[in-house]
Amino acid sequence: MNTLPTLIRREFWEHRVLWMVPVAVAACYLLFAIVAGSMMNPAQMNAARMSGEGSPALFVGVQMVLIGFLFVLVSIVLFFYLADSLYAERRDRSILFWKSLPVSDSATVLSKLLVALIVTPIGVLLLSMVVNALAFLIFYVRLHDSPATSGYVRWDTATWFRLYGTLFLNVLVLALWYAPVAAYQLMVSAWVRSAVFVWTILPPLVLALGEKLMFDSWNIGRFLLYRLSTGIGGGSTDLASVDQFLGRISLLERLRQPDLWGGVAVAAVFVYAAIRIRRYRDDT
Amino acid sequence: MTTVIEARGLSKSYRRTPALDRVSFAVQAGRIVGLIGPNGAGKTTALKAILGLTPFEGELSVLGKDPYRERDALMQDVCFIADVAVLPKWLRVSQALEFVAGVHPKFERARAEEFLRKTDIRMQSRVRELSKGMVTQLHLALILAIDARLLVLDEPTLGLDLLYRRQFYDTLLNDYFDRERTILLTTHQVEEVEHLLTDVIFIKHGHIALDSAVEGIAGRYVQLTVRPDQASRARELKPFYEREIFGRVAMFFEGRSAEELGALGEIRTPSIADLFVAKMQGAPA
Repeated sequence: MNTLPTLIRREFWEHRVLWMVPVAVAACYLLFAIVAGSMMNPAQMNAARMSGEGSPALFVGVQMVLIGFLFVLVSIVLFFYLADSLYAERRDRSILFWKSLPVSDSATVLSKLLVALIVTPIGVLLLSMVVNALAFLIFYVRLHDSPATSGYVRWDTATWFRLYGTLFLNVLVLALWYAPVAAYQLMVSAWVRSAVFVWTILPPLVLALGEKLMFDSWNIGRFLLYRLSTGIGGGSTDLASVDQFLGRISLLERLRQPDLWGGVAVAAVFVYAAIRIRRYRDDT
Repeated sequence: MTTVIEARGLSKSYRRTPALDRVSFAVQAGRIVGLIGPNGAGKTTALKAILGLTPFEGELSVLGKDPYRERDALMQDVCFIADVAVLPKWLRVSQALEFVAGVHPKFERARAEEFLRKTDIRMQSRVRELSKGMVTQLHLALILAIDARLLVLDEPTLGLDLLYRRQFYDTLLNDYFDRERTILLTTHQVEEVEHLLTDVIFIKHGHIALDSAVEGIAGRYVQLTVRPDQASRARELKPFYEREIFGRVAMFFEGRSAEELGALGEIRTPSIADLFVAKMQGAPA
């Protein structure tokens, strides 16, 4: 008997998109790497155009392409997952089966929050690590023996550790940062009788547009957009320095902001509400 | 004998319409109790209260616990099949076993697998691919493998064909039930469970119309069948319900001796189904 791991596995059984979408994207990426790698001709590659002594920065930048794409896609998947997570079981009445087992409502709701904020993002990051390493291997096999291109396929273990170390910490910080958004979605999902997506989006939208119409100001809208953004700055796309790049994407500073912890407190309230609603509503 | 369920003054209203009105009853361990009533009589409300799914007024104790407040602990010893087909469509048979094994301390997986081997259900099938009868079999397999003290069944065979219904109750009786276990069930199909019940509780408009052990019915109720010309004499003895069958009149008496009625016509102990109809359509309880 191990309730929490079982509950987490259950989520991936029901919501297969959670793992199928990242795996499919990763597979396409690898396929692309194989095709591109086999078409490259090292002898013809223009070494001058690709110049820049910072091959470690290139090493990092290339990996970020897949990671960025996967995380954008997975956040969309997670939005739909959270909206559905406590709603589907009421729609198909399977809640009566889940409730016939000795699993508390708190454990159920928390398992869904963990899946959205920790388990899936960490899983996607691990997947990116493996796929990026494989893609590197593919290019390495093709390009390493050419004097013109060998510089671009140099494995850099120290940078590799620093990159994924930073990203793992980022995932944890973002879990806290997005906790109120996810918890809000869980509450709505436990609450509404129908049209869960509409009810998820409508209240914040009405608040923001209402403020705009009535007071011609955009404070609520700005605040919501601020809470929805990762806060990883755009700024310079200069890949010259790995230090600069990792410094720019690191979110550790966030842990010192009261904003983040205020959000966590709000999340706790929403989660508590979701648990109470699932426990005490009686309409099945 | 230990009391498994004890309700005293149990009440519940939905928007001022009472679904249960100060109902009191007790269920002892090792009994199979049928909670029988027409639609909207309050059966499901009573079961929901017992399972801690709905708040209520009055006192209710299930296995010594308050089902509403101590629900999580209670569910280790209570199983239920609420209605039919509430297993989620996406669930695979193997996943169902995996899940229950993962969360239930009293689940014995091998037992469920053994039961499933006797059916046509395959481990890799999803619930959506199974027939309604097979879904019920799967649910039953899960329940049989849980060492619970109280099993609550709410219309467990609704919509199943006769073969599956018969098989369901046979399995329940042969493979599940023993002196330690208690079963509380509701159903519309009274005839079908008649032979397996040890106790019946009739419920009508939120009140209990009858609460009796099955063996107690014979001493208390008599069905008298008389020719129409004897009917007025029989009526003087105040039957609580009568109806005509093939030109003769069947009358139902409570608390009259068989000797007293025997002189007027044929007497017998009413079946639970007949008694149910009599109680529901006759004078208010």
